[in-house]
Amino acid sequence: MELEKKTLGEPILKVVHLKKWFGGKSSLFSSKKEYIKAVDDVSFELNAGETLGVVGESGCGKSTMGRSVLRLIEPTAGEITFEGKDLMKLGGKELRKVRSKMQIIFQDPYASLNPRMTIGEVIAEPLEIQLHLSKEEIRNQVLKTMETVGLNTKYYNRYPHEFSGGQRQRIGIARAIVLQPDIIVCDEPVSALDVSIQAQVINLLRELQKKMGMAYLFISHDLSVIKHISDRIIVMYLGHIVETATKEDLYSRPLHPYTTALLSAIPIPDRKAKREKIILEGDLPSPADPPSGCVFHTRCYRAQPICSEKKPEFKDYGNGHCCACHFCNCENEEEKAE
Amino acid sequence: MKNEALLEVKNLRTYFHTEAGLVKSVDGVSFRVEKGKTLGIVGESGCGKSITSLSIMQLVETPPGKIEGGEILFEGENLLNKTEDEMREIRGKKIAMIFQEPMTSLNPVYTIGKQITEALLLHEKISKHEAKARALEMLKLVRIPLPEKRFNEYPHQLSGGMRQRVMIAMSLSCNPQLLICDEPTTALDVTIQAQILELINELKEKTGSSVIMITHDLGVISEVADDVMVMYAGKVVEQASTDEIFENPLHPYTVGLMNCIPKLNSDVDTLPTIKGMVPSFDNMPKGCAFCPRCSMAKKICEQKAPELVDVDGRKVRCFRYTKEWKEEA
Repeated sequence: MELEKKTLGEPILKVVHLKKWFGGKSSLFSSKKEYIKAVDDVSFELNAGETLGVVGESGCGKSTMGRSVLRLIEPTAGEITFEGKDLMKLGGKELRKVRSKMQIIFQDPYASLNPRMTIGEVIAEPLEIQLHLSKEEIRNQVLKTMETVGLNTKYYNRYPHEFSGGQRQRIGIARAIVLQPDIIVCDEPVSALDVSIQAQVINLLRELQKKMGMAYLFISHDLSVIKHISDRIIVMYLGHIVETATKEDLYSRPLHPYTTALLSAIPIPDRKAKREKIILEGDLPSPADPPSGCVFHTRCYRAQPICSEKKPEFKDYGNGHCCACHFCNCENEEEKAE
Repeated sequence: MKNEALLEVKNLRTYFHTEAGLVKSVDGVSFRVEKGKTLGIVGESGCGKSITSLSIMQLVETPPGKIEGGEILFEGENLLNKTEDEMREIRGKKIAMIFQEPMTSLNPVYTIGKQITEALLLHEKISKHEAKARALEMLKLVRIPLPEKRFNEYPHQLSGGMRQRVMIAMSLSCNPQLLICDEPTTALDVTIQAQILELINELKEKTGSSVIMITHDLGVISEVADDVMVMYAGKVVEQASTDEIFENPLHPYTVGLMNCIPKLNSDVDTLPTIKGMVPSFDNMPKGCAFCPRCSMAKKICEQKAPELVDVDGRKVRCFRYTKEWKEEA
C-alpha cells in the first residue's frame, strides 16, 4: 500500500532556490561580510523511483547540496518540499520522523561506521530510533536486511574493522535501507572502492532500487559511473547548476561548454576511441570570491565580454534539457542556421 | 629487435616480515622499461604495484620490508649492489618519483622555491642563483601562472592540481632518465587530470625520459602507456603492449577488470563483475591466486600455481594457455 501513493515518475522531492553559505566573518578592516557560497541558488526535482545523478569537480558544492537537502547541514535559504511538507519549517520530532524516509550513504566506508558497534547494532540503530519494535522483531529485520545486501548473517556480532571496504559499504547500505526509505542520498558511495568491488556495489544499488522503488540522489565525480546509474543528471560548477538533462541527452548532446570539456577529458579505456580533448586552463576559482557574471567564464574557451558582465539565464532547450550559458551549443547552432 | 632497455627488473622479490606473518608483496616480478617509452602497471590495492616502484628506488621501509632477491638493472648496473650514498646520487637525479598525494608529499614548512632548488643544489654543481633560475624555468614549463610569486609561497597556498605540477617540476628539474609516477592523478579532478597527463606526455617527448605509470585506472593506461603489466596478489599476471592488451586481453583477471568498469560508449543494465575479493595474504589460495574469483577455473587451477607463459610473444600467467589445460578437458 506504500507503493500506491508514490507513483513512479512523480516528483517526491522539490528543492527551490536552495542556498548554503558558509562563514560570514567580517574582515578586520571592513564591515562587509565574506561568505563562501558553497551552494548558491539551486533548484531541482527528484521523481519517485528515479536516479538523479549530480556530477561536478571537488569544491563544486555537490556534497554540501546533498547534505543540505536532508538538513544534515542547515541550509541558509530555500525550500525543500518532501511529500508536501516543507522540511525547512519542520523541527525536532517531526523532522526526525520525515528523515526515516530519507537516508544517506557516505563515501568513506571506513569513517562512517562506529568502530565500537557490531554490525548488528549499526544496522539496528535506525530501527530503534524510529520504530517501536521488540528486540526480536528488530533482530529479524536486521538479519533480513543483511541478506538483502549480500552480507552473511553470521557476521551479525562482528565489528567493522573485520571487513573489507566493499563489505563495509554493504553495511552502510543496509543501514540506509533498513527503514525502507523513499529517498537515499548516495554521496560518492563507490569512489573509495577498487574497480572490481565498485561494480558489485553499483549492481547492488540498482537491484535494491528495482526491488524497493526508492529514488537516489547519486553524487559522484566519476562521469562513467554517473552515466551508468542515472536517469537524469545535474552538472554543477562552483555552487551552481550549469546543466540538467536526461542521461541520453547530456552525453550525446552536451550544451554547456563545461559539460563538453568534462566529457572530453575522461580517459577512455579504448585505444581506438581517439577524441579531441578540450583541456581547460587553470583551476576552480575560490567560492569565497566567485567570478562575476557567468561563474565559468574564467576557464571557458568560448567566453566573450558579455560572460563576465551578465549572469546567463538557466533556459530550457526542450525535453527538460536546461543550460545556463550565453553561448551554449544550441545557441551556436541557431546562429549557424541564420 | 628490441630497443635498448633503460631499466630491467629481474625476478624481484620484496617481502614484509610482519607480526601476523610473511607477506609476499612483490613475488618474482620481472619487466623492462625501454628508453623513451612508458610502462603502465595496473592492479587493485594491495597487488604490489607501489611496492615494486618503491623497491626500484630502495625506499621500502626496512624492517618490516626487505628486498629478498632479484636484480634491478638500471643502465646495466644492479641498483641492489649500490651503497646508500650511491643510491642518494641516483634518486632525484637519474630516477625521480611522483607520488599520489600532492598534499602530503610536499613539506609544508618550506617554500615551493626552496624545495625545488634543494634537489638542484644537491645534485648539480651550480650556484644558488643559477638554481633559482632553473627552478623558475621548471615552474614555467609545467605552466604554473606567476612563477616568481609562487616561488616564495608555501604548499598550502596552492590548489591540488598546482601542487602536483610543483611535484612534477621538482622531479624533472634534474632531467631524470626515468620518471616513476605512482597514481599521479588519482587525487585530482578530471579536468585537472587531463592537464597533468598531457603535461607528462609532453615533457616525456621533450626530454626523452622513460616513464613508469602506476595506476588502477585503465583509462589513464590507454592514454599514456606503450606497454602494460597487470599485477595481482604480488605477481605479474599479464604483460603485453597496450594495443594488444586492449584489443585482446588474455588473462581472466584482465578481462574482468576491463568488463567491470562502466563505459561511456555502451549501455548495460547490470555490470559484469569479478566475484569475491582479493585474497588476504594469510589466506592465499594454494594454486592460482585468482582461482577463487575466476569464472573459468578448472581443477588444475586449485592445485598448482601457474607459471608466466609465452603466448604469441606476450606473457600471461594462466593455465588456459598451457598443454595441461587441454589435457584436463
